[in-house]
Amino acid sequence: MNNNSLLRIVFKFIIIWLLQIVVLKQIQFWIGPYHYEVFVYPLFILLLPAGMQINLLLIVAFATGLIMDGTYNSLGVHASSSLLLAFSRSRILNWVIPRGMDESAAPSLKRLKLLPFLRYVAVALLLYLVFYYSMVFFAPAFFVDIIVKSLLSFVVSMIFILILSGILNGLD
Amino acid sequence: MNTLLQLLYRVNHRALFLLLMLMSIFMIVRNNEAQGKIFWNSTGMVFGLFSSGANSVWSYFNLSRENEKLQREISVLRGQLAQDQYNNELVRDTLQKVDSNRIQIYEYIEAKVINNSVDKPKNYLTLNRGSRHGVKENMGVITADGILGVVRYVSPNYCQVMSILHTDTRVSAQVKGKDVVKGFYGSLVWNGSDPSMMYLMDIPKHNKISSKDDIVETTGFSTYYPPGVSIGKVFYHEIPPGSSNHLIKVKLNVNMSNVRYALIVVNKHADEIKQLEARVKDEQ
Repeated sequence: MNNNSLLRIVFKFIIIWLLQIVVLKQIQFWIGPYHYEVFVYPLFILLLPAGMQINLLLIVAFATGLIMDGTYNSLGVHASSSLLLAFSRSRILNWVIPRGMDESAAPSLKRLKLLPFLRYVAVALLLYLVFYYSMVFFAPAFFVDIIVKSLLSFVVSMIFILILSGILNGLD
Repeated sequence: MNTLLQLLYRVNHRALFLLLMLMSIFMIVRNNEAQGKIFWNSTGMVFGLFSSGANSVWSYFNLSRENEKLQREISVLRGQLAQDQYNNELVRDTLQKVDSNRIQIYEYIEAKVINNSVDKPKNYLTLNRGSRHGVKENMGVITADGILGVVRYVSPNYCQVMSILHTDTRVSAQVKGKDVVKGFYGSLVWNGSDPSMMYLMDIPKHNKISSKDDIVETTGFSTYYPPGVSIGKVFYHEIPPGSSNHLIKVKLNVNMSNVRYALIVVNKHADEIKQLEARVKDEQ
């Protein structure tokens, strides 16, 4: 990991973080009685280099989650979800592209092409959201709310993430 | 920085994941009100389930102990019964004369303890026998193991017993050696703290209390308890400096905090003795 790629990662983080905090956090998303949140910042964890050392990845994801917790005032909820996402990322990648890829590069839209990238992000985001809402509700009794909110958030988050991936393509 | 990274790389990633996950869940529970409530409520539920299970297991243990006690009580009562029959036979058949010489003084009314306390300075027990069963005030109460107290208040079906664990208790008691009859007597008092210990006072220091396990029993000098009911054992004794009496700590045989059955002592001569003693008092 050279300085150049580190700079790119930081830059990506700032863009994603700004979109998350300045835009998405300010909008209230409602469908019927369900209020849900839209997240694009998991994309940052997904776009970290594929060959990144797993422990470092866990620490970075945990820190990212903590920063989000700071702004969402939900200490621990985002941290745990990001951590799970980072932990299962390599498994999802292996499953989506079994032939492997350039380890130093980010598994981005440009590298993976549209369909594999879609599958990669979709599986990871769904896992992330279900875990996130489980941590928010924190009881199996709210099973229906967890699933409904995850799915609602999934659809809208996917749209934003795809747009953002298109923008970030220029950075690769 | 590099060495720090290398150290980090060497850690097992599953262990690191688990550690960070536990940390974040701890943070969730500590810092988010809703999740914290759910967490503590459900752990409370789990522990509650566990402790009620443990309780029922413990009550089973108690059951066997309770059974043992009942068996013992039954055997004691049976023994008395058999003895009585033997005596009667003997008296009727051979020693006709003795019949009139042997009069029963003490009778017993069995009772169940329905309320009890040991944690106050003045403790009382409630028994399920009352005036309907012949219980009167100032009757002594004993168990198979020792003495319990003295009946203070009587209603038709129940009576209140002033426990020996009462700071006003004075029981006439004597030290009996294991083998030899020693017969020093004094009064047994309770200092209001340990429900398994009482103090035997007023035994002059020229009496020798040799063995630690000397038995302490009732003297029969009062009208409350029959003589020779074992109360406890000498637990510790000393002669306090400047005192002319022994200070004897007595460990009670009976565990006052879990007595269930009791015998109320009916002294048939109590009234006669009291009347007689009252006349002496008048004289003074």
